[in-house]
Amino acid sequence: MDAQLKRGVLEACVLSALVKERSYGYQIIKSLAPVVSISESTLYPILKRLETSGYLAVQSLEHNGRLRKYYAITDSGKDRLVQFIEEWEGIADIYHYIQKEVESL
Amino acid sequence: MMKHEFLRELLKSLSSLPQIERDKAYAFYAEIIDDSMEDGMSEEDAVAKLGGMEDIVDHIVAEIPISVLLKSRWSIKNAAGSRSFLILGFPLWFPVLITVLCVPLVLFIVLWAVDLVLWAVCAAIAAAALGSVIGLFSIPGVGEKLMSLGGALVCGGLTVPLVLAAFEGTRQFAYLTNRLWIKIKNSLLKKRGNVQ
Repeated sequence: MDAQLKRGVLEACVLSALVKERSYGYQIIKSLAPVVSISESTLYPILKRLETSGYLAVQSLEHNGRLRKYYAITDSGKDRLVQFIEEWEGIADIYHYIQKEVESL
Repeated sequence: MMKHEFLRELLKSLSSLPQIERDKAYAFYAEIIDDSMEDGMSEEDAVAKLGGMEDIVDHIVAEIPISVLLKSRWSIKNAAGSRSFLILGFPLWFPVLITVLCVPLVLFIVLWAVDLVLWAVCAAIAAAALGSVIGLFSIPGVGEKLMSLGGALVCGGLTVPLVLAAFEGTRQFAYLTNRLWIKIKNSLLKKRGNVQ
């Protein structure tokens, strides 16, 4: 997959993983595992970008005597997800057109 | 490799980055290892799962603006008390620095010049095709018309694969430019850790 496209998709995946409840790095990777495999080294810059863009709010909380960073989706993060879906609706139409043409080969 | 060894290597590899960036990366990876172990993984497995240090550092550095990297490297040099060397050694290090900076710049220019030439060839052949089509309708005489038709067909036929090739060229050059940029940024890191 094109790197730029993949980047946008992975960012949306991470935001989606936080829609129901806030989460932390390890848990985000685990909850996305059935859909997409994200390595820790890939997740780190994604979280950083999303935080810088204001799509995520970060809070460090104590857990078993150590600090754990929790990430929560912000309102602009939710808006970004809605925008993502709208953008991909157009792509889905193109996909279905190509799929139909390929099936008729 | 154990957690403390991994984190030590990570800090060593990121030693040229600003303290805040090192602290963030350290906290992230320490937390991931702790959470993996809490989930039942052994310490060695939790570290091994993270992959190679080079890949980890690449991902961290790719997100840091080049201005931050340069500033950080500059402050490290000053802190080391090498100000006098900078002044006295100017005739030595300045030409070297210019040379080192010129190499990626020249590479960058050459890459994109090749791409520009590809697109220019496409434009020229497409224009020739268009000219031939115009000639087909405006030039009198059957022989000339046939020649224009032949020119239009040949040039038109050539335009399609050439545009595809130029498009692929642009894509590849963009990828190479990106890799070159990451290499330049990585070269600003003081020292890389040697981890498997």
